[in-house]
Amino acid sequence: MVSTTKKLTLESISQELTKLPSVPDVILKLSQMLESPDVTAEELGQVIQLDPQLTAQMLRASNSAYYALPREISSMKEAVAILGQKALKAQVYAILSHKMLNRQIAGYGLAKGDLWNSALTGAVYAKKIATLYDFKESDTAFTVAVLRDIGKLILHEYVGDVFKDLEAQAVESKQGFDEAERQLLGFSHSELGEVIGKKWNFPERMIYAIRYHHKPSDLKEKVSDEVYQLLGIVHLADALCMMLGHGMGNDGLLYAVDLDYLNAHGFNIDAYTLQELMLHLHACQGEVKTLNDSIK
Amino acid sequence: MIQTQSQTTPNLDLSDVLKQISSIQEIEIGDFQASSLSETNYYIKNVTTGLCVMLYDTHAHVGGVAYIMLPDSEFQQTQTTSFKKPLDDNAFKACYADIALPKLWEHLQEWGANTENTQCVLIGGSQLFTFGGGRGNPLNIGARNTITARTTLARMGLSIKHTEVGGNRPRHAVFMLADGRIYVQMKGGETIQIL
Repeated sequence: MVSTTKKLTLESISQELTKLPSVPDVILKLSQMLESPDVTAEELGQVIQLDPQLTAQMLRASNSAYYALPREISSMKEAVAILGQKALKAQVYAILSHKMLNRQIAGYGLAKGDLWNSALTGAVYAKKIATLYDFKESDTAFTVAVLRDIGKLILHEYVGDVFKDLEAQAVESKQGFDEAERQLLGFSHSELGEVIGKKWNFPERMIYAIRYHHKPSDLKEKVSDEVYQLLGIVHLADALCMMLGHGMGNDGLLYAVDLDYLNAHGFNIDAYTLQELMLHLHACQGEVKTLNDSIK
Repeated sequence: MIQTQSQTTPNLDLSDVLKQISSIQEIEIGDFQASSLSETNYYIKNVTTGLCVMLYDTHAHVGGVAYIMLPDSEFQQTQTTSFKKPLDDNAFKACYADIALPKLWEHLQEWGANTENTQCVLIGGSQLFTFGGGRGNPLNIGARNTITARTTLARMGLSIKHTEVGGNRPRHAVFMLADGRIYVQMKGGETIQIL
């Protein structure tokens, strides 16, 4: 029984949100523009160029081996035209994720770089899993996965003090660390991520992915087949990231894999498929490194 | 019966050990490395469902580590692929316990290691929980890695000196070939010294 646990309330969350690092206006603007199918390459290029650092990062990423383009891209307008809007959106959110998550997250025992490493690796894995399962929106899978743990930015200040209790609860209930956070602290990092996503007007699919990345079967409302599949992809990518040991915190593997959900949505996770997935994802490490180097 | 010769040094952190080492080689999952040079040090971090098998001959002073990802290679040869994109048959050999361990042992034997003087330490093999899934657990790769490693080592005539396996937390390890010392830290926990 935990008697001294500092619990989160909606009021305290509002205060915590004000402590978050600010998101550059250009990125917020871009993320909204990229939701519109009518936006032109020229319009996007003009907005990106307002931020020289962002322009440099995006040009570097576009010209990296990750995209393996046959020729060099020299302007953002060209990048939009060649890579396409969805790949560019993935880049924008990866850069945002780097700005937000590339820091020490002490409560979870994450050194600077660990959470970012997990975010990027999980996103590359999500894209790969999407391709392997013939899911058309592989760039979208990347985009919705890259900020899945953003709630840890707030919750880590509460987790450190009661880590042992959270661990004991997660092990005893076998419901995972996320559920233990909800029970002992009032909110889980997934729920806090949802709050942050809504505050920053993230796309709806991304908010679903953040909220349900640890237990997609908790989603009770009716959504499109595409969203159901995206949730499965992000959940699987997150689990495989942990199994392959990327960006691990003290919460380690204290999470559960939602096998019933995955199998109900066509992922057919048996021992063989899982091993095959692990090998395919293991082969992506070069892509993760290339993309990481271009964004840093 | 596994002999355990480990000790917990109060307040020792693996980062303190790392600071004292001038050169260190990081081993990634799916790789194995061996050396006959006493100044060689290996660092393995965030071992989860994977399994690190460290071998050290206390007389020849040679050693190596295999960071195994999967138990056995048989599935890749016998199963029809689940996906359209095939796996490269040769790219992943070091990932499997049944291939990496005999290969590692071959190297050590060339440098004079023998079964009598070689000690084995196993670290990792942890596991996620599951919601549902019915009979059998496809996620028990950590446990299967450990079982296959034990079987393979026994077949090679090698005995296990110490294991730090199972649970749900990642582990880090430092392995020093100068004297075969191994430090293991469960992430967020205490560091223990083995051997």
